[in-house]
Amino acid sequence: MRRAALWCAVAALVFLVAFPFAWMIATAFKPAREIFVSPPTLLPSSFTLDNLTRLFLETRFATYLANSLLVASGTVVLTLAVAVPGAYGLTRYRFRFREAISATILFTYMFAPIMIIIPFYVLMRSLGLINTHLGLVLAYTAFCLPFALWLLRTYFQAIPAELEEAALTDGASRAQAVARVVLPLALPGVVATATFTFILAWNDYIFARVLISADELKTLPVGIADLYNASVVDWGVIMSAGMVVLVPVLVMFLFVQRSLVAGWGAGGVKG
Amino acid sequence: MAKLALRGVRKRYDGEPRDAVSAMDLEVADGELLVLVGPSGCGKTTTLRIVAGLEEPSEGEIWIGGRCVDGVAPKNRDVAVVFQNYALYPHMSVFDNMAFGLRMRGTPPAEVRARVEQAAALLGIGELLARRPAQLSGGQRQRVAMGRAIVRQPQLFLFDEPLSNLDAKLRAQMRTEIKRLHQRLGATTVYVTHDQVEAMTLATRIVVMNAGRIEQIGAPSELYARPATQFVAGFMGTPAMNFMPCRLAANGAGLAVELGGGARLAVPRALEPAYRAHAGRELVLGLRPEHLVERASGAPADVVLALEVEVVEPQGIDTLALGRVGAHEICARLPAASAARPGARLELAADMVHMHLIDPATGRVIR
Repeated sequence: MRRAALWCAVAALVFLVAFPFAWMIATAFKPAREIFVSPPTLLPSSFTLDNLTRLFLETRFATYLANSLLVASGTVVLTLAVAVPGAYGLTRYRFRFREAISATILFTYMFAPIMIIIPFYVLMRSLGLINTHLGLVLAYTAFCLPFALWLLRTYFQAIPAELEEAALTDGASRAQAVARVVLPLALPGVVATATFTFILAWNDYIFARVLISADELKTLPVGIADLYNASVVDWGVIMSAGMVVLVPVLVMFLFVQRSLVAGWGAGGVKG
Repeated sequence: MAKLALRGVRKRYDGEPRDAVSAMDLEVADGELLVLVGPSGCGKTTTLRIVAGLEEPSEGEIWIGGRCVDGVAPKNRDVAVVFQNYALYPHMSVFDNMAFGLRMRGTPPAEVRARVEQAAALLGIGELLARRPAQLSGGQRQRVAMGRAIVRQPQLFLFDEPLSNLDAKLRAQMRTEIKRLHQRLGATTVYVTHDQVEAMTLATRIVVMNAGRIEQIGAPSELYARPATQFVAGFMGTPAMNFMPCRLAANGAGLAVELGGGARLAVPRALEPAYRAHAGRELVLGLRPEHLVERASGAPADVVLALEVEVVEPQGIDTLALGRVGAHEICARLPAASAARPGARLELAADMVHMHLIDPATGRVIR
């Protein structure tokens, strides 16, 4: 009885979460006339790739996709390049105001994007970075860094200093000790940070909307939103766009989840 | 020539009111196993870390193998450290852990393999090379940590309380093994511990530290028999030396120690010249538990203490009797067959040849 109740609850939850996606995917493969039929069909009665074809041939979707991949990957690389040494420094070196600096970093994360978007726009304009992908990457990096630093900091803190000291006396330089001992152990943290950063950059609408106006530079969220602005809203194309947007994120999750979960287990130090 | 020398080393951590280590002057000879011992916070680990290059001294110089290593990075000091918590790299196999230092120095792979296997055989961990640290027991991890140090054949081995995470039996076993290893390899070693038994059993020489300073340096037997200060006298030996405030009285020809309550212990003739100048002063008498024996009939009456026995602790090989002499808490080491019972009164004869008199003003043992 309790088991049945549990299954019902799970089924309801799965339905709630998965139904919009199922509907989106089903619609993506329906011909235009089937999308609005009443009663609606759950599965496409006549399966078509027409929507996908039009998405890639008649819209600039492929350009948006390339832009998004470029910007999101660039953000991940830049964020890690700054956050890894930054978080390492915050955990391993003693200096004045270290805790105050850490707290301030977290505090800046409390600002909603909408609050800083205008100053950001002004800043980017004076730097001549409006309508550039570099500007967008910088904006995302600035926005992701506080969280990335905090996330990585906790991972670095969990790695005993003795491991690094052992590497140092074993003949490694500080950089080698970090590369060979600290980073492999912090890998789940690095992967988590990369995932978080990628998804934030991938999904962002507001920065892209404000900082990019040239159509050929738009990223997916803005590009897809602009599909609505056409005189006729082509739901089949929009749904297939939504479907394709999911693919890179899903692939990344599949690729990454093992290292997110695994970790290395204890045992290097007293256990 | 000394393999390791510390010259006037002082260390104060930022924001600390006092020095963690001060006025450290120390020479370690080639092949010596020097033990730094003292209570926690006495600066022994800090000293070791300074030698390893993991901490910068605030003042002073470190010389390793005739070379001043001021500002030399740890990796270039040619020292190997065995850490208290082993500090094995959890993401590497035992083999890779031991090979790490050699690989960092660009040793050819064939030689790396040969040397790791040789060290592993020496430590009896040959069949563990493919495992991860998480799959090892505490004793095995300790061996791997030692193996990692040995493979590199460094000029200097540094051990930082390597046995304190092991249970008592394993600790004794590993202690013997470390000693055997040292006898076999003859490597210059500095060994830090808070355990005076470890210090006594392992060391060629012991450095007793307290509050950042060296109390005394000497061979184990010398520290035990002739401690320089009350701290050393009380720290070395289990159970600890008995201390009793006393007055050194001159009575006619001889000297005697008065403990109050009428108890008097005669000072042996041989010791009188050293103590004569202190006659009449309030001092502290130090006597080890094994120098208090059950009084045999007919023994001289001028070295007798009456112990009110409170607790009797059989140790197998002997028996400890704890109780009071007047106001002082006293422990005596008696034969295993001793008839001492709690609540009984036991006449003890003090073996005054082994007595120590301490000047309470300086804490130094009078010689």
